[in-house]
Amino acid sequence: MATHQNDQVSFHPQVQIMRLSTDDIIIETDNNLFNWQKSTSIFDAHPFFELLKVFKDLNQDQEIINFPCIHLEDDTNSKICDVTFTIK
Amino acid sequence: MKLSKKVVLLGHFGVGKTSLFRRFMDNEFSEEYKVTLGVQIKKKVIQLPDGRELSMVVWDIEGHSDSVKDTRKSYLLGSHAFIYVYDLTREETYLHLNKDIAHLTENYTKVPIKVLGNKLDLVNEKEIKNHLTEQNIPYDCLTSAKTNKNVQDFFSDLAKELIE
Repeated sequence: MATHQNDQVSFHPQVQIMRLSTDDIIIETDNNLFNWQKSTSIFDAHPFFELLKVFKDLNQDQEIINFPCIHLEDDTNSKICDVTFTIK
Repeated sequence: MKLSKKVVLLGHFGVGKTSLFRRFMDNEFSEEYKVTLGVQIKKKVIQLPDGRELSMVVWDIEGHSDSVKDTRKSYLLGSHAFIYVYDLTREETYLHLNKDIAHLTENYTKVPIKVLGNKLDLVNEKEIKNHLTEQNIPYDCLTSAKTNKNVQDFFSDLAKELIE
């Protein structure tokens, strides 16, 4: 792989991290992949996240749940992403 | 607050899950076949006759090649209904249907399962109904995503059931 390609892989941000409040508001986001605004409901970001509504009722033992290959999009782009929920 | 329900489309690859998804969500159909990777998710608000509204979040999951057991468990988490789709023109897509339904019933006891035979436009309706009955293959509805036959009515009826 050429050096410039290596740089692209190494330095192009491929991960977006978000922190949500218990009432599903985006508290923090680095917006590396999608332009989802702080202080807005995660449910407005994409219908995938409506899954969080049922999490509270499921009494999940797991603290980490993975969802591979989810098609996500915002107003300007769409990507297939692996999504991990870490519940604290 | 609108009631929100997660509905998952399941079934073999190539049975028309994505075509049903697109027909229901956007009233579109394409002859072009593209394999679904992972999951596509869209939401549609359905107005019920009594004025209530249901936000139906539909998960269009990549098809399995053998059994529904191959489907990732996390995709099925928190589901309110499963729609098992088979292709009326391909017997192999409903060969394991009864086993798959038994597996889902056993593992997701509270989740209702609807069974759809799709691609009705490619078969004779009377003949296929006789064939399915003879083979003991269940169905709740026979649809055609291509012609839109029974698609909107099926989802409307499901919405009514989910809100009751």
